[in-house]
Amino acid sequence: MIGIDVVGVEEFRRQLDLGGANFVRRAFGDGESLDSGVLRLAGMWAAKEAVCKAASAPPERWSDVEIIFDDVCAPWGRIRGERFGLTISSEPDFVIALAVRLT
Amino acid sequence: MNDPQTFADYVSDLERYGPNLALAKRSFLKVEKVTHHELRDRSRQVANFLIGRGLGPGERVMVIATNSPEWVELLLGALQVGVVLVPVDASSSQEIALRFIDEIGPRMIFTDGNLALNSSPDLEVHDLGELNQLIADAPCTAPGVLLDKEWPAVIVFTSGTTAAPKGVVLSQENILANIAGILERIEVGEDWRLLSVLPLSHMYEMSGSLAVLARGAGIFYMPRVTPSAIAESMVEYRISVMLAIPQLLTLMLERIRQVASEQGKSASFEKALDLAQHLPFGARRILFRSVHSQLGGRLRLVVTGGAPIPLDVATTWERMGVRMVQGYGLTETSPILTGNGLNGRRLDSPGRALYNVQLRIAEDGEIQAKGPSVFHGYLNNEQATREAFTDDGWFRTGDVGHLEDGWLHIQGRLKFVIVRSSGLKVFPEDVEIVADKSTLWRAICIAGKREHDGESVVAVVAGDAADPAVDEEIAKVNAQLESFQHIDSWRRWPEGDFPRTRLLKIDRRLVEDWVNAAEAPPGPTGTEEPSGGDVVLRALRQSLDNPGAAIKDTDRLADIGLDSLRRLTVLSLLEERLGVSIADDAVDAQTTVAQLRRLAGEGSPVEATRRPPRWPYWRAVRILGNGLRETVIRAMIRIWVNADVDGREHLADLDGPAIFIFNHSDDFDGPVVYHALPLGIRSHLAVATGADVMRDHKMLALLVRVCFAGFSFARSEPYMPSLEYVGTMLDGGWNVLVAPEGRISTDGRLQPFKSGIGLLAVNYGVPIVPMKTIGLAGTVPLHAKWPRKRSRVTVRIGQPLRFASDRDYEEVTATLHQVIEEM
Repeated sequence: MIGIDVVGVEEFRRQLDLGGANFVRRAFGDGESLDSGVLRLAGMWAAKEAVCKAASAPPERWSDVEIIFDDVCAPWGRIRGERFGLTISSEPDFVIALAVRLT
Repeated sequence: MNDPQTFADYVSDLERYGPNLALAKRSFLKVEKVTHHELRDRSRQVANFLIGRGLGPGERVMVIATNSPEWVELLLGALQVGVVLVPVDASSSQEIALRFIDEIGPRMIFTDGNLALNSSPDLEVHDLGELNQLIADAPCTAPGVLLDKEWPAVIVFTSGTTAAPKGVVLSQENILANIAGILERIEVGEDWRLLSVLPLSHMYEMSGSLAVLARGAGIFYMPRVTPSAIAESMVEYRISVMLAIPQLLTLMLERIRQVASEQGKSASFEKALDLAQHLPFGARRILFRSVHSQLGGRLRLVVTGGAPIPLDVATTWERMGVRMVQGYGLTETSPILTGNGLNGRRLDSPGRALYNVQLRIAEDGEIQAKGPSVFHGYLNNEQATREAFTDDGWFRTGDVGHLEDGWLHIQGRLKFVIVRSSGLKVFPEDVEIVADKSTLWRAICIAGKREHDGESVVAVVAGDAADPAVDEEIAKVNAQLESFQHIDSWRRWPEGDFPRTRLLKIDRRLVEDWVNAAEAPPGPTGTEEPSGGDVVLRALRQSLDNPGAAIKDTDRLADIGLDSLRRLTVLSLLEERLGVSIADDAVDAQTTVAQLRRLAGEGSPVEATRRPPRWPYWRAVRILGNGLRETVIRAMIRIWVNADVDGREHLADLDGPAIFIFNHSDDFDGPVVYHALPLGIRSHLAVATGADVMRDHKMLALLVRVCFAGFSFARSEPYMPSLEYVGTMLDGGWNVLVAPEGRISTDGRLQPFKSGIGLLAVNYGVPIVPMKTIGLAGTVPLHAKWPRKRSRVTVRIGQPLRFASDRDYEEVTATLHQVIEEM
């Protein structure tokens, strides 16, 4: 029902640099990766992990786990039609995300 | 045509080809294009900008960035002021960058924005991608600096075979002379379209690019140089020429053979190659048309350099109808010394000396050169400079070879010659030519091992073949060699592949050091590395940031510390390096290394993005299609639908291509909306049609392509190629009709829009024209074959909307939804 994930920003940056364009394409949907800095992408990655844990199932494709920001920039997640409440918090070195399945 | 005497002349001469495309690069959705005219103006702006910042002749600007139009603008700008450009390999680490900065003392640095270098009053750091904003206020008049040919133009560091890289100082005259020499040898056509695959920080790419630009040709850059990106770009840009290194041609040829074998056509492919040698070039291209269509259909010429191309690879390409032109040179010679021409070329020689280059062969066989393109010295290294020239002023190339009626033949590098105790000399390259033919090993490198008297010949093998098999293969190789050349022993390289230089040549120095340093165990030896580790193992270790990580085939990914993030990195790396796409959910924490390796071997080849066909846009097809649509189809629609159109007046201010969007309420609405637009627009209106529909309904697809200039548009991931294709259409002057809901509404209500429409609006900056049909729903319900009823329909055309490029695309998508909702 709930999921949590913490991501080290430096390590995330390293993996992102290493994996390059393929990494971005595989990890994020077409929209998610636009104009995003490392911190924001790390936050989105943590959110995806948290959503998967809350859904208690890994995704078929990471880009299927959608992280959406509503009008007031509050995030929520979606996978296979299910919705998840999300909260993401970041410091320069770490990002943490918590997801709750909405029934 | 007179050759330019200075770079000011060179830039003025670009005027001759004013409107031709000079440089292009895809960045995300957009293709950035620069004409020769714009290149001239922008390089002058760069020059004036540099002067404005107080930079003058002899001062240094460093560039650590991947190839782009801005890179060339910066180069030409600096050359017009006498500012020395110092290019550094874009993949350099922060540490190496800092070391170069220390040595060079640049006033300004341009990067890709990935290095954390601090600006200071003495050192400006800029993102090269922002060059055009930076120079926006500078005038585009000629800077009028009186240029001296002797001035240093660039300082290029020679790549890695020696411990400390040496800075090669090339003057303006050196480069201009080489450009003139290249152009005298090869007649560059104004219509050439070059794909750039080598870094501009290498002289081969730099001089080659400047030479083809001087004749009005165009150069295309890729955001990332990977095998799949090369294949896609060849098709997209209809590339006709490449400057390449032999390894790339070998790799491409392997892929072509692989495709042939997957289609069960290996035998006929080889037979066709046999036949082709008796055919003229045109006929060869027809014989191999399926190969050419994979390559974009236009590739006619490849200029190779950097290393000798294996004769069989060159021959095969020629037989497929692609001309192979080889050259030879060194960074110190700006770089070309010899080259083949388009006519009378030879595949077994890198050609004859350029008209302004003199060559001689010294007594020990060394090739020596003289001429205006030969450099004067290394940066701050008098000793190396002295060693590089003979007493009578000839440049020592360090290569051994001979001339045959003016044609050069290279045997190898002087310093890697193996001298046996008998005094006989073995060139590693001679042995490798024979040994490379074997497919038993991935790669082989011949090195000399110092014995107490003279040297012995050691083969270092990369790959995972079993020891006895290698023994046997070495014996076969020896049978084809002179007895003094025989391989005395072999060893297995501890990694999957050899260390390589930037141009992918095996770094002999390191291999030789390894052979001589290691306490050689008796006899041939294998290593304990799990075999075939290579790419998979390297990716795992890189992701773990632990080059020495002990990884066994039976390890589970979780055991070695691979979390989901690192797994994704590994899959991304495998996709890039092997071209196989492994599904995210095929690999989890419990997957073993052996299983991953199997997946990497079996993974589906990355599906080549199929681009929509071009034939629907041929003139003849459009005439036919427009004719059919305006008569037959229009008449048929009128039987069922009586349409009133509101708001045509809004279209008056459209002055270029636009994207038209509408609510998708019915199978019939595409044609109805299409005909609601005036003839001037609909004769250039292409319909984005669901890719699944186009794939599954062949007749419908044909109809849509012929009559509505339709193209297929993805309704599921990956969307990006489809969005890019819309850009291509808009660039070509086409209007595009899209239903942003993605599918027909089943209840008549407007469904949410796919955010692709927002991306298109924001990225292409073209007007979006909202349209709405009212009263059409139910005429042809989903899955019905024929109209159910006659309808009276109103089509409303709204005010064209434009969106600034900094708008959020999700918000734009929502705005468009609301606009149509309220119409």
